Amino acid sequence: MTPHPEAIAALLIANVPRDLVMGVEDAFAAGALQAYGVTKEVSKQRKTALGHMRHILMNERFSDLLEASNAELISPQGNRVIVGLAGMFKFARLNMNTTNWNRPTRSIIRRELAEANVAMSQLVQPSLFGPQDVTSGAFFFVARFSGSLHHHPEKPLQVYIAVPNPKMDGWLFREPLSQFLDRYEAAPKQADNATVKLKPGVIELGGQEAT
Amino acid sequence: MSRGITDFQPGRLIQALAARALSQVQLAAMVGVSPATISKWKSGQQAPEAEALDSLSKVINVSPEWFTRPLPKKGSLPLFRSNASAHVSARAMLEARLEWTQDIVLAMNEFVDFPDVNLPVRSFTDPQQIANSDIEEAASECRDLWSLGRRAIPDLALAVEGAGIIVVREETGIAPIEGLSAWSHELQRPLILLSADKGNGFRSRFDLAHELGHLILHKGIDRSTDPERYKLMESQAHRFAGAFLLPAETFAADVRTPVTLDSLLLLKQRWGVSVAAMIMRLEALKIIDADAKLVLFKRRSARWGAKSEPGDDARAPEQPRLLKRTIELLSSSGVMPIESVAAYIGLAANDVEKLAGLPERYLSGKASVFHLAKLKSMVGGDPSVKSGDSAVVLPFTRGG
Repeated sequence: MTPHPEAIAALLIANVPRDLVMGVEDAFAAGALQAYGVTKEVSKQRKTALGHMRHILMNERFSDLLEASNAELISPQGNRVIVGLAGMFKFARLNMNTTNWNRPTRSIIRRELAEANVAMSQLVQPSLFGPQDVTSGAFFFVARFSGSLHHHPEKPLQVYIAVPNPKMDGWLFREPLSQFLDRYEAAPKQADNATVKLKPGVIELGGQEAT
Repeated sequence: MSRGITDFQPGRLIQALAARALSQVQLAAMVGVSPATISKWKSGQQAPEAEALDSLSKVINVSPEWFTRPLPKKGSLPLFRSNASAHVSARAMLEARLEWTQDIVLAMNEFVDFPDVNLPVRSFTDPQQIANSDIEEAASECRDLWSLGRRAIPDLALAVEGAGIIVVREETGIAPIEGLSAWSHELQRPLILLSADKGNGFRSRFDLAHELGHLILHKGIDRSTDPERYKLMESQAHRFAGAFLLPAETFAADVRTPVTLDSLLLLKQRWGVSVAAMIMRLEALKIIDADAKLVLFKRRSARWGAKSEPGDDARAPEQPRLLKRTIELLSSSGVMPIESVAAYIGLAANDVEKLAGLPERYLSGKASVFHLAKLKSMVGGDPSVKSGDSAVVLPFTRGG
């Protein structure tokens, strides 16, 4: 079996279209920038306001993207986590700070999503009872912000694609999108087809005995 | 026809004159006959006698028997990649070299199977029918056919030869013509000749992709001397080369905006394409507009001059290998000794060596191969300083 992150990455590549991943990059950047703009005037609780508005505006952009790609499973309503569907994967989004990663397990929906990763976790840690077929799974698009109003408050420092373990206390696979996107276009090792073959019967004509 | 050897092929003489870039008068003087005689040989009114043929073949440097070999059917008229109106005789010379390459492949075809031709098929009959989207599509299809993905192509020459195209890269001495390509009817496969004169790996790759564009897009289009039409076909082949080497999806993702020459210099090494060609591609993709292109070209000239770019020598020109491998296979499998290859083809050994990309004197069995043996004691140490082996200064006195 292919060693783990590669096996999980291959499953993601097979199920999640490249365009959707690039769309997430765009949606997060646009939502974050918009949130930065609208909270500029807040003077006393600016950090908090920025966090709230990021949540709302990035959700909106994320939802737009899912709607446009026909991938929306749970649409935004109240405080619900928006869930998308790509192949056998369900996915949601998440914001985090460099300094202080929020507790992603607070959401029941997220915890439920992560439970689908039991089969996939065996790609990392083989089970005693033989491998199960991976037929479902969940991942998150995680935007990491600096957590400071002085260092790029207008955009995520990095956006990751991250597959949680079923208990959601660690990651089976995590990679920045910029790096992950390269996987779609990875050129297969160039084959050497510039070869010639002797025509059948030529060796005998050349006076050598067939062995 | 008067006396003279039978089966003399006037077409071979015309080809030889072109390949050696000789005029009738020059050849007459070298062979020791009158120009009128050469003219009669050329038109088929007369054939040379044995002695004259011998002298003729020595001057041209082919075997006498070669003049009796019927010419294969002419291929499609080649398309020349030239940046200036090159001289007629220069074009004829390159065309003849391409025909000689065809002769070599025909001779080898008796014994070996070359890779199957694997190219997208297009049936345009007029360059006006070809839209930019058609070119982008053809380039993508070609990448898919060759399983190249969408990233930089490590070795384009290898990919092109693997698709059954015969590639020759030789010094032609004609700087303005950078390459030519044609479809051979006899072989049912295309041939490309690239000029090695500039020795620039980046340009050579682009030239090869440009010729590939001609072979795919313009296969069914009649050659024309109309300059407008020629210009259009050239620009289409250019667009193809850009699209093939720098696919929109991946190249655009790599480019940082606003575009600077230095960011392109980094991409140049990654993609194996010159900064100038990347600027053209960025405009084709509408990532920069005509004004931005002009500014970049202006800065490019101001910083680096008109001819070269930094990092040009970081990539050695890609070398064709198919013909070389064929000759090596024939020799190693005992079908034909190395020394007999040139005679079998009928051309001079050094012509075959050049066209097949073999080292000099390889076919005469006298290739100068040196084995540079290393003394164990020298390995790891500084070879210029050998301890305990000091030089002896020999005194000599001035005589007188």
